[in-house]
Amino acid sequence: MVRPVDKNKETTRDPVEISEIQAIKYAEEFSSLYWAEKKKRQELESAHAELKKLYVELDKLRQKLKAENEFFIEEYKNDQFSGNIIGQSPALKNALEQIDSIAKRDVTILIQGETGSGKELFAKEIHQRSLRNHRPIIKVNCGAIPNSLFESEFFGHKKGSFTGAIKDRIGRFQLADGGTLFLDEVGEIPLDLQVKLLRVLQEGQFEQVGDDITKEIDVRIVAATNRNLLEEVKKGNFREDLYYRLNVIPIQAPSLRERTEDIKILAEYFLKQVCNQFKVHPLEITDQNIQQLENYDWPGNIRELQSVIQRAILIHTDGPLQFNFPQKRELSSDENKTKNDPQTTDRSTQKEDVKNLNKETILSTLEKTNWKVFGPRGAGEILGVPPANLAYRIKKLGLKKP
Amino acid sequence: MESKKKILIVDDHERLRMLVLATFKGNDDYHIIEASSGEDAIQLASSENPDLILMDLMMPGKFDGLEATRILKNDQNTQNIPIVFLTAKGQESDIDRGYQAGANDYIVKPFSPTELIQKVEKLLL
Repeated sequence: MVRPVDKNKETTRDPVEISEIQAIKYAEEFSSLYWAEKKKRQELESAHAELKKLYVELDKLRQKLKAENEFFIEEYKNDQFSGNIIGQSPALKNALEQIDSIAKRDVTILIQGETGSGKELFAKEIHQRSLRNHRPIIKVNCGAIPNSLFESEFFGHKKGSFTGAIKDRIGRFQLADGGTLFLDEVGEIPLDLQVKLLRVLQEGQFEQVGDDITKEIDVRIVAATNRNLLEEVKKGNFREDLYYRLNVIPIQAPSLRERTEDIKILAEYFLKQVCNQFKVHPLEITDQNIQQLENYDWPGNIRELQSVIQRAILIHTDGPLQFNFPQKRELSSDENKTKNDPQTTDRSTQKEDVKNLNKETILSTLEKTNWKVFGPRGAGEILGVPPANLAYRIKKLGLKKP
Repeated sequence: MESKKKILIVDDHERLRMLVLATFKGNDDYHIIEASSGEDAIQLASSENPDLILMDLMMPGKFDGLEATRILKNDQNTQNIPIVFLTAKGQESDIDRGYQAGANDYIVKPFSPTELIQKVEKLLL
């Protein structure tokens, strides 16, 4: 639509026309410079904006890195995930096979098992065999966080959001982003916080304390507990919805009682470790030692085995190692006599049973047996518990024949 | 960058239309369409749906710029298109009439490329 200007004609045009044509030329030249400059400015501005964004990103990463670093230094000091899973027992192999089959799938796992049975190591194993193993596994000990700090610990907080919040703090969820969050002792989380945890698990979203911005995270949850969570649900201590959310895949960490085959190899492992640690001349463990260890029922599981061995080494002067089982001191002489009796191998559970008996039950039974505790038709037999334990319990409860 | 901005220049003087074309030639983000009368302007405004209209007030024909502006501003389909009217220096009384007809802004002729660009960019921001 712009008609080409006829150059031959130009000279014949009147001065007004000529000045109009010049004005058009001028407009074109001037504005093309203007547009070029504007384009440059815009490019500069967007480059600047991009740079700014990168700086913010960098700052976030730096903060994350710093927090991770702090965490790992602390973790390293505490040595929370130290050690490896050791043993060849069928119970252990079975558990490891289960882990292997689900580790790579991003599902939530609930590890249940007695105290000291190595739930933490199982969690670590799951993480290491998962596709997230290039990112950290972050542990939260739910039983060790004061109620008031729970949210801050999980979700982090903004500086000044409460007294004592002197700087921004990154939460465990964010630390574990891309990796695994290990919720140890998950049964200890107070009810009012369970709902918040549930929300993160369901939506992958949370807010920092003192911040309105909803953050998205991608974590795999591995939870562990030594409580019977279903029982806690029934008692109303644990939310049912959270229970089902956590218990997608249950894994049972076997107790040491279930893997007596592993006691020897574990004892030898700990012996070596402790001797190294305390710079003690390497000690030998005898077959008799092993047998002693195998006969004990390990309510504290592997952790107890470790400390029993540690104690034995530390008190050792010469000759074979002497084990000192902590329960022994609490037991009466009768109990000691029957200690090696194979029938009492599940003494620990029976001991638990004794503890669970209430005063009224014991009292009413004693009235029936005319305060006979030992022997046939004694209270021990009737209640199905070792009479020695019962006698101890009776003494402890301060029950006396009227 | 968002899609191209379409500007309709309405003037019976070809040279003035060329001036506008020349001003926006160096920027690919603008697309200029032309009309030489009020009637053409009304037709193009509804068929092309421009982002902005530069409208000369004094034009021969059925509708002058003032009338065309009035019509466009009363039509539901075109009333939201900003209109900048062009008025010659010395005819400042046109300014009031232009605004009354519904125009959004004005430029006094002769204008510099800078003035034109600034008005357009201000309205299209």
